[in-house]
Amino acid sequence: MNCKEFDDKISQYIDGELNKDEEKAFLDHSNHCQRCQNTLENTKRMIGSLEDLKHMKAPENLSKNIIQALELEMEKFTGEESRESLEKSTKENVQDNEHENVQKIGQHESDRINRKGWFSKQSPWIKKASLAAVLILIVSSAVILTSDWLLSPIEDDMVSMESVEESALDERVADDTDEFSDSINNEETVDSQDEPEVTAMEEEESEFREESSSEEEFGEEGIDEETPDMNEPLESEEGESTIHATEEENTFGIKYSEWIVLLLGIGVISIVVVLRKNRRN
Amino acid sequence: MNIEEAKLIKESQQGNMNSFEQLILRYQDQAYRTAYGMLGNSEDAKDATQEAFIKIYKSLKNFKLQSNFSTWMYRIVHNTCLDMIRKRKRRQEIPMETKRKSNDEGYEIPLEDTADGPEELLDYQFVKGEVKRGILELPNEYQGVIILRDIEGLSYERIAKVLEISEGTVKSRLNRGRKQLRQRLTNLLQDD
Repeated sequence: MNCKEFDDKISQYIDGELNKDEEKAFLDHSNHCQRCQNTLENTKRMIGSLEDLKHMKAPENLSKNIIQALELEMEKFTGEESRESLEKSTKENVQDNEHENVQKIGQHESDRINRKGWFSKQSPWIKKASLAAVLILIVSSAVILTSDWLLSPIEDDMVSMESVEESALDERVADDTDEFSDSINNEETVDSQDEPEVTAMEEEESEFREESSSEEEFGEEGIDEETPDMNEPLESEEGESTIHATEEENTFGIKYSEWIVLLLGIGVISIVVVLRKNRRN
Repeated sequence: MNIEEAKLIKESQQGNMNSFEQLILRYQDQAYRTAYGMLGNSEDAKDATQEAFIKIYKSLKNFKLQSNFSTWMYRIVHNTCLDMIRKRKRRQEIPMETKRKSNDEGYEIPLEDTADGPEELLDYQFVKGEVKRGILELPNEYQGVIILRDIEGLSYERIAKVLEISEGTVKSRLNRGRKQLRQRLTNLLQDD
């Protein structure tokens, strides 16, 4: 055995892995080579220095700490698992209920559960966005209702104007006795002669008045039925108020659009807030 | 594997924490020593041992009773330590608890070693510190075999099973690793 072979066998000799022949050859070389003998001694010493590590003990509470850490992890794990199983069972329950409800309650109810199922399947941010959209829809509906309410005074005004006109007509009709009907017809004829630019509508109206005066014979009911058409000449008297009402409507219309913009803005801000919150989560 | 150990493993597989704690108590010293040898300080050794036993518990369902539990345990501890070493290298932090010419804190020097004079004791402590330090600086493939052989006293066959390499590879790695350690020690002694 030479020094190189000796060097290669040192580990196996120390570990008792050499057979008898190999061991004999190894020891023979060691006895004749001081350098290799020193190498063997140094290696033994080096390995021996690790002897105390062989008796090293784990810290006292290590097993307890491991169990505690493990239990914590298991709690977390079982928590997640139970949550998943709960969600799964809930889905299964919903599906079961859905089946029963189809039989019991009918198609309408099952559609409702289908919608619920879809919602529960969605990711949290979709749920939040959907809720925000629903909120906007509700607010928009509220705005529409509010705008009806806002516009209702105008309609009331219009209705009241119409009723004023009707009452005025009624009064006129009531005043239009047989005594004055001829004179009125005459005046209108004179008026129509004096004012050649009178509109066709006025002419028609005057004709109608003539007819109405003749219809007096048939009683008030017939007159009442025809009064809406007869009030046209009165429009000129109420023209200013009608124009004024239209202006108010425009004013309300502008406010209405402002409301829409404001509420849309609120809706957009709420969506942005929801999305940001979702991103943080 | 004896009957008692097999029972503990089976009960642990069924989620019995007391049985698993008994298993830990049986093997925690071996696991801790291996981790200490590979990582070089008690804190990291504790963390690695804890992490390894948690992994063991999680994988216990797949463990077959025909296998050797301690071999499997050593493998998981070794791999956990290698993961920690890799993480440490990534952070480029190599804390060395062992310092030259200083007492090692993780263990006590056996009383019989003090039979030598103060110079010999200093020399012994110096060698011991340097060997530990040297093991930490060895390539990972040599580290594992030296710890499992020179600290844990496993046979070549078992080392081969733990590291999933051949016995021939164990022999050659052990020889090269020891040679590197010895060379390092010789150089330091010559410098002094």
